[in-house]
This record gives sequence, C-alpha cells and structure tokens, in this order.
Amino acid sequence: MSGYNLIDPQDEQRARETILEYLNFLDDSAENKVYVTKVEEMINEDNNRLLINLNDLRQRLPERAARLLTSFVEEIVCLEQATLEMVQRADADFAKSKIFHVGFEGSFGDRHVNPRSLKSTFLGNMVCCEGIVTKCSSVRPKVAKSVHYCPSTKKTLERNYTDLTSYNATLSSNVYPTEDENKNPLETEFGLSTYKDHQSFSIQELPECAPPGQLPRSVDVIADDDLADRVKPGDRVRIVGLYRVLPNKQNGASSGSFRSIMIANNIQLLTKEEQPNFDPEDIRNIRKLSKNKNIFDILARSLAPSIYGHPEVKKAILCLLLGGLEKILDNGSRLRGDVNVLLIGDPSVAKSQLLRYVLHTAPRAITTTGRGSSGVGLTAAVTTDSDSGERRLEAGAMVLADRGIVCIDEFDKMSDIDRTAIHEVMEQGRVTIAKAGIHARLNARCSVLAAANPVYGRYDPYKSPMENINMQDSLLSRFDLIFVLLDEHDPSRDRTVADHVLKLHRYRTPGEPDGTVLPMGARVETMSTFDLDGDEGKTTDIYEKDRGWTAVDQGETILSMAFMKKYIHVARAVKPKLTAEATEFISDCYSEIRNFDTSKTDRERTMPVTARQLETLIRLSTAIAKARLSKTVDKIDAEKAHQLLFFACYKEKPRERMEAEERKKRKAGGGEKAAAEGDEDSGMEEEDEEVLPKSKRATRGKAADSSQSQSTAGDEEMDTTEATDTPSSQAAPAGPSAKRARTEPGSISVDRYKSFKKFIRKAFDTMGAEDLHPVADVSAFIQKEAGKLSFSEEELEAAYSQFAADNMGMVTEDKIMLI
Amino acid sequence: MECESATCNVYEALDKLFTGDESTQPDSLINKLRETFPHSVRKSWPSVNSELATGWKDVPVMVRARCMLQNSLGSEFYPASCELTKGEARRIVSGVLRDSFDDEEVKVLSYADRHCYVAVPVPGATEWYQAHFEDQTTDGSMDMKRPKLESAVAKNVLERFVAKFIDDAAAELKVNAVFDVYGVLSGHGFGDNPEMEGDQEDCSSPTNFAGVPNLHVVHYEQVDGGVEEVLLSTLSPPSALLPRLRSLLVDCVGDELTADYLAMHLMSSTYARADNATICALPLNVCGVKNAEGIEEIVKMLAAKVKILPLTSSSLSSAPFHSVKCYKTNKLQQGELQVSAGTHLIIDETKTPRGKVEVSGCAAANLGTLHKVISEQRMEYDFGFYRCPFEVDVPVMVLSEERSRYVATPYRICLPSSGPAPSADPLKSLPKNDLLALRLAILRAKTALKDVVVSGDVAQAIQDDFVRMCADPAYGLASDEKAHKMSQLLIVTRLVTVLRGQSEMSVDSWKVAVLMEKRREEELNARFPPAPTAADFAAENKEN
Repeated sequence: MSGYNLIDPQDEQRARETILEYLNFLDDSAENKVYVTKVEEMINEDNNRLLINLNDLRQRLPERAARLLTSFVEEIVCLEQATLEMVQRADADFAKSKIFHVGFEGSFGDRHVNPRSLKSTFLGNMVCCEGIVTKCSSVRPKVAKSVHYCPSTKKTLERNYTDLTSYNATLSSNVYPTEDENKNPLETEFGLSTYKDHQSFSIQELPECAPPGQLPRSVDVIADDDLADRVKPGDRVRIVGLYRVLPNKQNGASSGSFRSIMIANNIQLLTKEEQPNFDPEDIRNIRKLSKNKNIFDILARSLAPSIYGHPEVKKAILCLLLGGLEKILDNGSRLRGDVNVLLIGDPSVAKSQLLRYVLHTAPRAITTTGRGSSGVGLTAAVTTDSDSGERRLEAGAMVLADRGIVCIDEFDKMSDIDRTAIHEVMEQGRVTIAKAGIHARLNARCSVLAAANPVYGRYDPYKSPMENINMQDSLLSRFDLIFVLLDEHDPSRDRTVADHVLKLHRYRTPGEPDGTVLPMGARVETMSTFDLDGDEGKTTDIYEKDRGWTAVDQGETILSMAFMKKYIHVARAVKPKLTAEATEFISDCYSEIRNFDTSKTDRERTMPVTARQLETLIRLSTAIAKARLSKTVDKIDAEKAHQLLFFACYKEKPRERMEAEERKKRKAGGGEKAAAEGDEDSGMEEEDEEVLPKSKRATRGKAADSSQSQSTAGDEEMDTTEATDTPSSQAAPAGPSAKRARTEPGSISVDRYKSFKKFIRKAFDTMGAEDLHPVADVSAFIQKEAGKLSFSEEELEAAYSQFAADNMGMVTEDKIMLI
Repeated sequence: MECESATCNVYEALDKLFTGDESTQPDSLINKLRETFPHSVRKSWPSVNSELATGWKDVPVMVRARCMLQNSLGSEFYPASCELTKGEARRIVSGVLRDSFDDEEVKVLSYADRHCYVAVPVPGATEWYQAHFEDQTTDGSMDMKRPKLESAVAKNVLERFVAKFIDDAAAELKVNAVFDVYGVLSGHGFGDNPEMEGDQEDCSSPTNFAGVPNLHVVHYEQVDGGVEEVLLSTLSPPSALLPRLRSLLVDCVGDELTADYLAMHLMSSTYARADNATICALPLNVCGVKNAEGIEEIVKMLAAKVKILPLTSSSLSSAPFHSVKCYKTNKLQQGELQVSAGTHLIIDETKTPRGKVEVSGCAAANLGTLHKVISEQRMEYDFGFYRCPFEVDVPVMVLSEERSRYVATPYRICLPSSGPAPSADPLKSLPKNDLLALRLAILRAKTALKDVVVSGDVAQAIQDDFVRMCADPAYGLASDEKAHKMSQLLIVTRLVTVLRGQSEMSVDSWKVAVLMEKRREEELNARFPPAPTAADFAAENKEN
C-alpha cells in the first residue's frame, strides 16, 4: 500500500514507551479514577473525544505535558493510540466502531493567545485561541477511507486518505482510484467507505481585545468529526488546537506563500453571561453590611458615584436593579415585579451616563435607542432571510433582555409601531406577534429604564410635565417612577465648567503613543480554559478606595462596583413578604396620593395617578426590603417607597402630607407619644430627618397603627396571605374614623361583624336556610334587626365579603346562600 | 554591487546575497537589499500611481508607490530558507519577496512570517501632493523618463495591491496610514484558476486575492504631512508666511473674517480628545455659497488631501460612508469616508436638490456617520457582528447656500453677500515655490497646534473672563451649552495663537477669539436667521 513508511526501530521503541506512559496516566483506577470514569462516560454517551486536562497531565507527567505543547504531532499520535487501547480494555466492540480523538483543556500559559498574538514561533505547537466566529463553511463529508471492488479480479481494495489537516501528515496520494495496476476498472463500495464531517471557519479577535485603531485579525480553524457544526457565526469561542501552515494553492508554480490554520481538538463556547464568583468572605461581608441601618442609602449613593446629586433618581435605579416580586396568579395573569423608570430632562444632565452605569452593574442588561439600529426595533419582527428566503422571527432588545434590564435611550424618538407594542411588553411582559403566518408569543419580562428628552428640546417650566413629555398617559402610567431632571442653574458651576474645559485644553492626554499594542495578556482575564474568574479566592473590596473621581461628600463611604454587583446579585434573590403593617400603610398612602392628585394642577404632576401606583408602592417596598436582605417588607420600607413615589409624582417630598399630618395631630391633641414606634424607626432617622421630623412620623405611625384594625379585604392586588390577616385576631376598640369611612370603603370592625353574623343567621332562620335569597332582601332584614345601629353600605359590603371569606356563606351576583 | 536600473532582476541580487546562514535571516537580508538599492535608485523606480509599464503581470518589476493602508490582512508564512530541486540541480534560496518558485520542487527548511496589508492610492490626494512624490526623481532621470512615459502605450494605474512587509516592525501598522513603499510588484497566480472556484474553503488564501497583485516591500516610509522634514526645516518662520497666507485668502474670498476662519480651518487638526471633546477640530459650515468650486479649488491648492463629497440623494443612499467588512470575500469594503488622517472633507450641499430629497437605503446611517465624524471625530466600521469605532482626523467643511440642512457644525460662517465669488486665482498666479512654502507653513502650523502653551495666569484670566461672560445676558448662554461654548472658544483661541505665529496662548488672543466668534454669529444670524425650533412653532400657534 502506498504511504507505507519504513519505521526506525528506535523510534518505534520510543513511541511504544510513550504510549505506555500515557496509558498509565489514563488508567488511574488505582487513584481518583478521573479518566477511567471519563472513558466510561464516553462509551456510555457514544462519544469519540476524550477531554484531557493539561493540568492533570502536568502534575503526573510534566515532561509529556511540555512536549505536548511544543511538539504536538509526535505526542498526540501516541496519546490517541493510548486512548484507543484504553477504550479497548473497557469495551472492545465499541473501540472498533469509531476513531477516537483527544481534546485538551486546562492552562496554556503563554500559548493562550488571540489571533493577533499567534506568531510563527507557535507553529507546530498546541495553542488555545479565543475569538468570535465570523465565517463558517458548510459541513461537508470528507472521505476517510474508500473501499473499491474490482469485478474482474474479485479483489477489494482499501484506501485511507490523509491530507495536511491530519496529524500524521504523511501525504497519501489524493487521487481517487478508478482502476487498479492492471488497468482493471474499480467500483467504489460507497456503503463500506467511511467519511467524516469536515468544516472550516474563521475566528476573529474579540473586539474588546483588539487594540484601538487596529483592525481585528483572524485565523482559520478546521474542525473535523464531532467538532464540526459546533459553532455558528457570531459565537464567541475558545479553540484549542494545533497551529500549522498550509501552502496557498497557486496556479502552476510551487507556492512561496503559506497560510496558517488551527486544527481544533477542543471547542468551547464562551458565554457572555457571567455569574459573580462568591467567596465565603464576600457573603459574610454582604450579611454584615445588610445589617447597616442605612444600607439603602449607602447602596443608592454608590450608584454612579461620579454623577453629582439626584439622590432620588439613584434610589429609584437601585429599586430597578433589585426588582420587586413577580406574581403569577392562578388564572394565569401576571403581576409584574419589574420596576420601570423613566428619566426625562434637559440634555446634558447625565441621563445617558446613569443608563450606562446600569448597563455595567446589572447581570443582564441590553442597551438600545428608541430608534433602534435595525428594523427589528424594541420588540420583535418577522424578517426574510436573504439567503434562503425563509421568514424568521427576530427578537428585539426587549425580548433579548428577558429577565433583565433594557436601557432605552432617546425613548421619545421611538417609532409608533414600537410605541404601541411597548404597551403590552411593559405590563404583560410578553410580545405577541402575528405577521406573515407567524404567530408567536415571546417573553419579555424586563425592567425598562428609559431616558427621554423633552419634546421641545429643553424642559419648559411653564408647561405641564405631561406636555413636556408628550406621551400618552397610558404609556406613562406603565412607568413606576418618572423623574424630571432639570439642569441646575448654578452660577458657581460656571467656574467649575470653565476650569474643567481649560484643563482639557491645557494638557495633552497622557498615555501610550498611538497604536501601541497591549502586552500579551493585559486584557486576557484568564490563561486557562476553565472559567476561573480573576477574583476567585480573593475577596472583593467592599469600599471604593480611589475616590478622586467621585462626587460624594467627604466622610461618606461608597461601595466598589464589584461589590455592588455581588450585593445586588444576592439581594435580587431574596423574596420578602409584605407584613400587615406595611400593607396597611401602603393602602393608606395610595388613597392619599390619589386624593392629593386631584388637588394638584397638571403643571405640578409628572404622571397620572392610577391604580397602577398601588402596585408600584408594593414593588418599591419589596425592592427596598430586598436591599436590607430582609424576609419581610416592613413599614419602614413602605415609608421609603412612598417618599420615592411621591417625589417622582410631584417633584417634591411629601411636604404637604406632613403638614396635613401636623394639622391632624394638633386636632387630636397630639398627646400620646409613641416611644416604641420611635425606637423601631431610630435607625432611619438620619436620612429621614429632612423629610419627616421624628415626632410627626411617630404620630403618623401611631395613626397608622390605630387604623391597623380595619380590614384590608379590599386590596385584591395584595398577597392573599395578607388578606387573610383578619381583624378578628386583634382587639379593635375604635370604629372607623370619619376619614377612613370615606376613603376606605369595605371595612368593618370585629364587633360590628359579630352582630352582622348574628343578624344574618336570624335572617336565614326566618327566610329559610336552604334557599338562595336576594342580597337586598337579606340586607333589609339585617338593617331592620340592627335598628338604630344600622350598617353603612360599606360596612355591609365588607361584611359580606368577610362572610364569604370565612366560608360561612356564598355570595353570587345578587343572591346569597348559607353553607 | 549597486544595481542601477529598475529592470535589474531583484531575485538575482537576492540569491547572491543569500548564503543560508545566520547572517542572512530575512531581517538582515532585507537590510542588505536596502543597501543594494539606495534611495537614489529606489526613487527612479516607476510609480504604480502614474507610470506603471505593462507587462508586470508576467515578470516581477521594481516599483514604488504612495499608498494608504486600507485593510490589514494579518500575516502569512513564507519559507525563510528552502531547498529547490529542479531535475538534478539543488540550491538553497530564501523565499523573501517571492510569491512562488518556477516549476521547482520546494522543501521548506524554515518559516518566517510577513505582514500583509491591502493598499490603495491615497484617497483625495491633490495633484500637487501626488506630483511631489512623483518628482522625487533627480532631474536627469526625469528628463530621461518623461518622453518614455509619453510614448508608453497606456498609462497603467494600480487601483489596489497587497503590500507584504517582512520586518516585524510592520506587524502593527495602522490602517489609514499613508506610506511610501518601494518593492517588487508581482502578479501571482493565486485564485486565478477557475477550477478552484468550487472548492473555495480550503484553497482560498486570506492574504492573496485573485487579480490583485502583491507588492513585496523592500523599503517603506510613513508619510505624515506629505512633505519631508528636511524641507520643513529650511522654511522661513511661519510668522512671516502665515500673514501672507491670510492676505492671499482675503483676496480669494473677499472678506477678512471668512479668510481668518478658512485659514484656521486649514490648520485645524484633532490632536487630542477628552470627554468626547475633540481638540482642535474646527468643523466649518460656509453658508451663502452659490458655487462650491471656488472654495474647493482654494482648499485643493493649499491642502494635501481633499475629499469632496457632493451631498445628493444618490450619494447618500447608494453606499455606506463607513467601511464594511465582508467576511465572504475577506475584504474590508472601503467606504467614502475611509480616508487617511489629515484629509480635508468638503461636503458640497449646493449640489443637493432643493425641496424634498428622496433618500433610501443607507441615507440615515450615512448622515449619522457624518454627524459622528463632525462631533466626535470618530467613525464606526461595521464588522458584521459588532461595530468598532476608529478615531479619525478629518477637518470637515460644509458648503451650503443657507445654513446646512443636513449636518450641524458648531462653526457656521457666511460669505459676504456682495462682491465677487470666491476664487483661487490669486493663489494660481503665485510662483510655484511660494505656493509650496505656504503649503508647508500650513502643515507646520498643524503640528504646532499641540505645542501651544497655556500658562496658569492666562488660564486664570480666561476662566474669570468666561465666568463674566456667563453672567452677561448679552451672550445668553444656556447652561448646557457653556462647556461646549468654552471649548469652542478655546479652540479658536489656540488657532488664533498659531495664526499669529505665537507659541503661547495670551489673554489677547482669547479676546480676539471671543470677538471673532461674536462677529461671526452676528453676521450669520443677520443673514440667515436661525431656523425656528419646534418650541417657537408651538409658541406661535398659541398666539394665533
């Protein structure tokens, strides 16, 4: 047979020894059985590639590991032989069915390269190269062995094919035989011939690794057999393989130029998503920090510390990062937990910078502009594939950001189609598309952080905020918080501006001269194929050390961004439950904001106050509770949420509310001091001081406490467990105050409810217990029985629902029935 | 062993030099070749930009070229030494500067890599700039060559070639840089064979293109301004030349303020960027232009590279301005705006049809690109899966009849409404050497920009003055414009300083700059009042 080479007996002897060495390495049944298990797995899963960790090899056979890197071809042939023998030992039948390959992983040291740093010194070496797949050939079968039959001589002829992409590059003649030596025609036995998959693709330097001003470099990769079709264009991959030259084919003459390729033995897809790597010490730090009473403010302060001011906006963004709790009701409808925030204001007030910060902090965030660069836009579109003409669904930014955050800059410049579609996305968290025969529903459960410029370019203080924004109320109401950021007209800032600009103009930007290539590894985070994060085993610093660039006051600590990321990651996972206290407070606040809304003119209000604000309050309180890593949403969380919402709605802190409280307090005499309440809140004093002086807050707390007894049955949106928090468990001396009766329908005191139950039983006794009775009739009977102490409409309503909730009766439409 | 003629076979010289040992590694070999072909010889080689003789496709010839690197192809390998067998005869040669070996069996002994770039003629190169390169030959040989050139059957100009550099210093050359290269031009057979079409994947070479010749570089020089440093140093100080330039420009455009801004625009160059502010770019919108040619000609007479971009619906819609990577062909498709640093871009809006302009395709993206070039001096190349920003240094001038409708430039100036149209005639009548001196003075002013010193006292005075300006309602500065305005004023101040031949910024220049800016805006607003904004419309509607 052709290609048969005389083998030097010495070489053969050496090769045999090497194979034995490898075999000993692979057969680690006496030790931790890593590779024995791997081989078993390979047989079970019907694979043909054994992954070997270079680090293991380096420990056991340092010489072989070093030679594998430098003279790869000699070694790999032996290693593959050893693998084959290993498989034969385990399963002889399986060993016959396949050709086995070996892939590598582990630490490659200076052979961990990118296409730019692949140099001629690495030729013939095994290297590990990272890049983005740009161009993929189709997968084609390549003949590995052909079988021919000669009808005249009745002989079969076998032929193996190798080319420059196989390891043992003893070039066989690549001529496909059609006749034997005696010119007898041959027939190819296609069924007996074997083929392997073959694909070539290019990987290009990762954009973040390319030095500025340089075009990215690329290298071609050849992937055979099981590695073919593993990647698609656009994937970020890490390829381990042999670096080798191939001559460029040329017309006629022998070529004087060669191109380089990598023959892959392992392909890893790099995922973009990163999981923060937690150190036990980190968790301890996070726990410790969460005990800090000012944690919410510290976190908010540490957001975008280089941006001066806007504490409320930062708090809102923190809530957005933490998120509320999503609830799927039994009927399938969904109450979103995502917090949506809209920033609107003059150009140059750091809106985009805030967006950019979120992009870098959130675990999954996508940025886009209202205009969108492609036709897909924000939601989704049906497009036609230019190659195949097939229609396909292309996901827009909001779909891609499912379970994440989508940052939309230039929100006002959105197309009308997107504007319509975004309504659904923002409330339901999904995109429904019905176009061109495709009907699909895509999940898009994302928080929206949008920034918009006022419609006239600048914010016009003489127009109402609604006019300045020029968006439908229906869209605006879907934002939990809307902030108007106004440019501060501060004369002392002029000097700072002038100083800053002058500085820029006075000095040349220092730094490397143009075009300097970064030293190898400067930007490569890891030299290993395992995703060891750079900070593994190292605790992230909690506080930012270099504070020169931040805009916070001296004496205030800010957290480092890496720590923030980890903290938010932990906090997001917490699922706090609303306490009765907070529930009560929230419903109280909501009605107040609604009332306040009517007293305000359009000029002062930024957004319509709708029932959605009630959900907003719950979401915000949950997010604030998450910041404390608390399992319950307490009243203090709800108070902060209220302040935030109030500020967002009316561009001011709830001052009027405070005044109203004061008036109420004066009326009530304000005698009682609620020391216990003050105690609980003392931690919050510092930041609350300007907003709510302690005594007032305490009074309000007291007021809220006293109204605790009223049932909350009216709030269907709230967690059902909260709703079952029946008032019967608590002593309730006071009846509903006049105010409460007006603002909070549907509540009834325990005593009244008892008497209600007494009357209703009486009513059924007289009217017949088994029958359905019209509610009106029953009510009339009860009122008659009650005499002077007749029930108000609201009380009745609440009583009926309580009655139903206690499973004592059933109210359907206008009829009532006893159970 | 000097080799006098261009036809001298470089390979013979190469084989003579190559001994196969350490002393003739590719690096030292190329150095020896440079000695063999000194500058005096190299500059007599024909230039591919103008006078390439036919027949180079078959026999490699020595050529020179002034070109811009348009795309970098990475590196390819070649035999640093190899054994050739032809029949019985065996010899060891170097693969340096070669694409192939004739009919010989090759056994490669060692590999080395060479760096490949796609090179194109310098976009927007003006006649005098190109001629300057062509005329580098000594007078004697020029006389000899001129008649030959005329008799040549057809002038051959190469549109594109692949330059292959051997030395490692060329591994990281930047795209869009301009080089003078000297070397061997060879038409190779790569990819010519139609049979190979079907089996593209394994034989296509990323560094050789069918129909595009390779130029194996013997020697190369980066061209910064376009004129040798030697010439610059012999020049009289700019303090004498720049006033002359200014007075000539006044003759050309008929107005002092316009002439000042034109001169400053010619000298402007982006040497630094911080916080998205580009220092010291002066994007100019000349309004009130009836006929763009006069100003275009003036700029072409004085600047080295001028790219003129008529803004029509077809030029906007048909092709992207930025470059796009095509992975199928492995080419970077050159967009209109992929130009070398220092190329003046003139956007001619007078060619735009009046009224509604129907655009399609790339128009929106192209206007975005233009905007980015003007405001940030950055351009994004499209790499399919992502876009990569590249920093550019392109002074932009927009010529329009009114205020530009499509691109907003921070500096707008209007031509005087009366008087003759701008023309380059005063410049044309100048003696050739005077003109060259002016051009050199401008180039030198560009490099002098970054050396302007701002002392602490002056900075303090400027700062105080600016704070006063902010307080003055006459200026009516909106707060978000302040930083921008300050930056604009400082740019003008710096340019005024250089225009006056000074090397240190003074309070006086600042005051001049402030006055100039004020006059410019007043004149502009008087003639072309700013377009009413949406807010004004709304206010009007309310009144009605």
